[in-house]
Amino acid sequence: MTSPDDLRDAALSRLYRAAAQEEPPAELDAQILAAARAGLQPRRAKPAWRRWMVPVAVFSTLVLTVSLSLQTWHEMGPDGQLPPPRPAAAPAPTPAAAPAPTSAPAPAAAADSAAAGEPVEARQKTPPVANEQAAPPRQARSADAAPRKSLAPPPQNSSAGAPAAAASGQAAEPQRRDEAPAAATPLPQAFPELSAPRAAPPAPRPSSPPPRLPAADQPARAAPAEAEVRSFAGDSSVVRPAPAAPAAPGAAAAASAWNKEDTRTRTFAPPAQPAAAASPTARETAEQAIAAPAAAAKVQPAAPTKPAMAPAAPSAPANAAVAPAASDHLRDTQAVQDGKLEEQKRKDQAATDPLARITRIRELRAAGRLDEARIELDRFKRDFPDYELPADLR
Amino acid sequence: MTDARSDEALMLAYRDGDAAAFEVLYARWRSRLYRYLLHQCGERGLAEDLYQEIWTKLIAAREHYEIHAKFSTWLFTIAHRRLIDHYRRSSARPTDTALWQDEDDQGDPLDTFAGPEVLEPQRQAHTAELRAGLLAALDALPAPQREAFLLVEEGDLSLEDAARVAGVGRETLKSRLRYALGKLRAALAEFQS
Repeated sequence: MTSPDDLRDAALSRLYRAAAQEEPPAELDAQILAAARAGLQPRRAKPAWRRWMVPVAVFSTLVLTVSLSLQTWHEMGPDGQLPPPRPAAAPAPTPAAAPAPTSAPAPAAAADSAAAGEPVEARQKTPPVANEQAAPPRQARSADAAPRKSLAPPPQNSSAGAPAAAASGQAAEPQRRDEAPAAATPLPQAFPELSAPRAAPPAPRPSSPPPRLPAADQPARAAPAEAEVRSFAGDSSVVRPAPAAPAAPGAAAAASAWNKEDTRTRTFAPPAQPAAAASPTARETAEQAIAAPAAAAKVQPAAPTKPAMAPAAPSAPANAAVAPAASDHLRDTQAVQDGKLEEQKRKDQAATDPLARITRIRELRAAGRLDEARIELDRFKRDFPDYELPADLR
Repeated sequence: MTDARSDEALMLAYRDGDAAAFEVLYARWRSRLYRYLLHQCGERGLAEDLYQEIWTKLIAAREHYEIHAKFSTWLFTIAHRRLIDHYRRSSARPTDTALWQDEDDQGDPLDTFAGPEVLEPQRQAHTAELRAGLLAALDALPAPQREAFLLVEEGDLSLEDAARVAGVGRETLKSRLRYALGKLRAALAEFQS
């Protein structure tokens, strides 16, 4: 180590030391000494929760990340894409909102409104899309709507136009009608992933067929002609008046004609529905028929019929777009045939009523037509072998 | 009351919790460090701020203190770096930037400079004007030369330790010290004449 003494000028050093007498301020000394003493104080240990705060936060973040990743991975399909978003939960789910494969939304909406007792016009102005998008696929149905299959289309993307417009409620109805051509895009093309389940299952048959009403009691014929039904191709695409069925005996016949026309026009057929669901008047009549004991005894399970989704409207103008004039004649003819069939079936029902037949046998006897009475009695015994005959007929 | 312990022993004692050891150590070096800073930066307020920061840094670093060099070397190294940081941030003394340039390449002026016998500082030491002239000459020195002089005078460091603190080679510091001494002598000779 080299000492700077060989370079140091002793006289200069002494002169400098005599000249440089500056001292730091006393308060600065006090502050530094206080800081030095404070530095020796033992630091307070952190609380346990503060020590565990960071590890817990890191662990929670990791768990959340892994959980979300696993969930996403599980929900991801085999093609590596996420499924379409689920519909949002509806505040008031309606049974008609469940996704239905082969049905039209308008009948469902009409039936819902019928169950709720709404006027037909008000019902038909209610956009069904909100229910369609919102309701979960529930099977709970009211007694009136028990056999009804949900007619609402499954939730669609906003690109379809009509659902988005329908979300705005009744005010969006004109717009929805304007968007009908776009919404009427063939479903398999627009939603290939949704078309398969829609076309696969047929419309379920009602477990308990609705009571058949006499032709004379069909109130549906007097129902307002404004009842419009819509095809499924777009819930708002085609607004079509109810098909006229002047010769039809009732709403069932009208519905049958409507369905056949639907089939011809390659639209989705509405599911089997009770005729009572067609309109409030028809429903009341059906209830009355069910309530009457004699009439109820005559009601037999008939062949499942197509629902009467709208009352007959003899003077309703046909929609030129979907109901060509050429099909009216075919529809009328079919309605007449259906009416005859109804008559025949009613006679058959009367023949299957033992009380009616016993009465008939007694009438024949009283009229002196004993041979016919005996033949009728033999038929009766053959048809009802277990029936206990009255004493006068034994 | 004097403590015979070395600076390093005192610092170790303070590291281990002896507050009195720090007080002794502080009393030894407080004036020297303060003058070093004061003559280096030229402002009392700034010198006080730097002074406090240096001691605070030393206190904070006490837990990791190990004897790797003399305590004075460590203390003035901290002070030197703090001064460099200050100059870089504020450029408070822009002229010092040029003054920090080394003059080693210009030859050794001390070879042609008058020696101590010319100045006879002993005879002038008693006058206050001479002291003021010395401090003025010191303040007029280039910063590297002034630092070399101060490190040797205030830090009582050897050439090697002073060179380590300044971050230069030993010969460089020696050259700076020669320049500083020569200029101070010349300034005192002019003042005396």
